[in-house]
Amino acid sequence: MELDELKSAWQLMNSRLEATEMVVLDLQRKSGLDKTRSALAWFRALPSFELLAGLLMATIYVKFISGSYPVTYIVSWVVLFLFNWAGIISACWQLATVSMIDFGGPVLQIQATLARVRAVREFTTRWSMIVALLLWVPIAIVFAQIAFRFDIVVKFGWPWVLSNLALGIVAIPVIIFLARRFGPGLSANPGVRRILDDVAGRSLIRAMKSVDELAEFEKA
Amino acid sequence: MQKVSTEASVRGEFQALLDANRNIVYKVANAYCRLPEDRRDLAQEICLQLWSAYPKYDKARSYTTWMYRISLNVAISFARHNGVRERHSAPLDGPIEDTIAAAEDSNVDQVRSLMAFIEKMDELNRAIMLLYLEDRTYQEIAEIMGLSETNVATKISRLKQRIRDELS
Repeated sequence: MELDELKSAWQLMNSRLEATEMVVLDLQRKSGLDKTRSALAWFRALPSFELLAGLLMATIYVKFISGSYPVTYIVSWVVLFLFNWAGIISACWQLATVSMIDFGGPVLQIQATLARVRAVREFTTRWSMIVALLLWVPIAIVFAQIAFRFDIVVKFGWPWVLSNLALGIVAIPVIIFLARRFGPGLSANPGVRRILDDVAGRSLIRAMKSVDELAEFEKA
Repeated sequence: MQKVSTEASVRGEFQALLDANRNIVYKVANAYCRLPEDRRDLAQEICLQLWSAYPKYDKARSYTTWMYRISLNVAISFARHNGVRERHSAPLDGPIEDTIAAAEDSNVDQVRSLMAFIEKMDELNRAIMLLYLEDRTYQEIAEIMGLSETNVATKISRLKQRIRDELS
């Protein structure tokens, strides 16, 4: 069968489908569109939420650095501050890139930009979750100081801090291994599967593959 | 008051262009979604994106090229976001099956084969196939996709060969 022979079949099917379904294209129906299904809305919604949360956290952090604090508190505060700002910068970059996209541009160029945004998003998500396993120690130090005015390092000693950091370091490859090995069968819930895919790196691999496929497609 | 009337006039102008070319939206939605609710959502999202991009539309350029670009960009993003390709493994849904069954006898097999072939394609080759089936010239396809004409010709030649191999 030849591709040109299929043209009339294609035209016929589309005209009949159009007549059967009678989809109403109406600008007034904007509110009727399910936002969770809008791919373009997601590109903006997630970084917007991260940006707002990051800015809120940054505002809160700033309030808790004036005054005299132990060195361990200051170091923990700086680590959390930098982590938070890395998230803010990533969210800003994603939002700026997506808002500059003109969807009337060439398909390959627009899809390549979106694929890069998706890859950055997956990279940020994955490493945020992994690094969070180490961050809970500085979070505990800062929270104990702010909420209860006591120094965890003085109270529990350096062995406690170091053993918890070591536990976090060991937990990272273990959790990645478990997510890779058992991830797909662990839960039918799409949200849980999504998190397991992120931790295992499957989402990032898919996003990177998409970037490579687009570059490959552009070649003859 | 004048601002309101200008906006209404732009909206009317856009709606008229959309009405005149609405088949582009349907055809792109049909090529990327099998399920009726997917097609409706995609068609609506394309429509909204066309409207929000309309102020940037350069009237010196072809309206259909611009419309194809936006429709395909939205459709490809929609398909990737919603895993529409995975859902294509489901049996043919009512309207498409009914449409196929209602087609002329000589076309039934062709439509079925074409649908099966399209569903196996990746999103970008599907875009090229759709544009070719719509009788767009290589130059137009190249302009819409952002490829060279030579590249488009090569890809179409490969698609023709694949169809010969798979559907013969």
